[in-house]
Amino acid sequence: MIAIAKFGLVVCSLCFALGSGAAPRGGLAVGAAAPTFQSADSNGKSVSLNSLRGKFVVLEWSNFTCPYVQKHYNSGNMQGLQRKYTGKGVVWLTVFSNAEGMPGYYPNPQLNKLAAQKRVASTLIPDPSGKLGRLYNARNTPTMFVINPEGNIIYMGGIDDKATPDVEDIPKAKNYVSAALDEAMAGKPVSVPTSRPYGCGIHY
Amino acid sequence: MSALLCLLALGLQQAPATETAFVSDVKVIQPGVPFTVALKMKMAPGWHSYYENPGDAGQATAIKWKLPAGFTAGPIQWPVPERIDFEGIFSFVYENELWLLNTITPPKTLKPGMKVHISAHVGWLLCSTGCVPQSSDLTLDLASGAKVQPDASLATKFAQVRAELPALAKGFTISASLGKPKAVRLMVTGNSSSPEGVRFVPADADAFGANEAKVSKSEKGLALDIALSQYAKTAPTRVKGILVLPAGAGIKAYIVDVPVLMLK
Repeated sequence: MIAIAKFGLVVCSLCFALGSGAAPRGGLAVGAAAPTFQSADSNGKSVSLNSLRGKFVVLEWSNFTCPYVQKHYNSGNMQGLQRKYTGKGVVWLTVFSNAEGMPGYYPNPQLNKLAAQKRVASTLIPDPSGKLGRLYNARNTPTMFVINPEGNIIYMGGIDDKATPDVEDIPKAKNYVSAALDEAMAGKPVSVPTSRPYGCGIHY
Repeated sequence: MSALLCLLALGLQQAPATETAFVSDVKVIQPGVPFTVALKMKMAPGWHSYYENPGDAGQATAIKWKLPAGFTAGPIQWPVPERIDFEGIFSFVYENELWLLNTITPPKTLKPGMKVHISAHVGWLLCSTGCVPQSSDLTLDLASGAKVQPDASLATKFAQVRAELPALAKGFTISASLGKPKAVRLMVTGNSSSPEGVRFVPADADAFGANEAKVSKSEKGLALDIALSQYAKTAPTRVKGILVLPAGAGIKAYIVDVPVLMLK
């Protein structure tokens, strides 16, 4: 309860500080403003959601030791999506919220090395304090958010509709993230704006 | 070797083996008479597998049956899972030894004196701080006869497992309606339990995630308010799960499977 209360305060203090006055009431929801944040990538470069207005932003919660994440990385599925959509001007942020000492936590140099080996094509956001993960109430990996150029959440949930760790399921799956991006970029409403994320629990 | 090193570099967690086996409450099955096959699982200390609704993370144990022609298998009869909290991430899990019962119904046309080969592919997720998918192919050989023959050596254990399974509500009724925005209210009418120790385990991960019920005393009994998951697409039309009531020093579990009434 204390953690929830704290993170509520973080949301509000950020909103007041930015003077937007549009705190997402009732928590995270499709259509609501995505909670703003300022963070640093794995090379120490600052990343702020506000400065990304005008662009589509994907938030991907990850943990390279999780079999459900490995399903999408060992197959190249996730990197393919990252490459395809960053090529279309989408900003793709891959967030690592597992606390130091937990499986999936890596110091930045090791994280960069692992990501290079896997040919990850996104910006890595280490979040061992869990601040960003708590702000988005991310509970497992992979959990995905798609934010539109106006800064609103247009998709939140799982990456696809096959909640298994099996690589063979990827070709049969409906990928909700690419569907949301394709529809929104074509000016259409997002047909599936939310789904239950599946995967390994985030260890805050 | 390099592939192995690569896997280790990825941090794939070494998981201890889980012991699994099928056992039945009968030695000889009778045509048309349902019997039970239990999936026995023994997990290493500190590791767990998941309930039908895993909660915030994880995956339910699944059995893909390969049965002789005409045989049918019912759903897994889930015992009450434990709700564990890892820094605010909640899961419904089982630890140590677990028996998952399944009712198998043979066809009436089954001939006595036959060998009956039951097999299945069983998959589960084993987690501690990390997770590893595990699976096994299990078999069980039984025989058919004119009359059912129970396996007396397992009768006590099966009785004990069944006694702990959620039962049908007796002497009280359970109903559900849409509650406050984004919540469902379960009413337990005609039961005088105090709210302490009462809990609800939702079976529907899409609708409720791992959300817990807020329990209060109402005029007619108990009211349990369960918030919908932030990922719920629509309000559920049915609520399934397990109602847990305190009973003496222990608990008693009841099956919840009721339509959600639309008030207004």
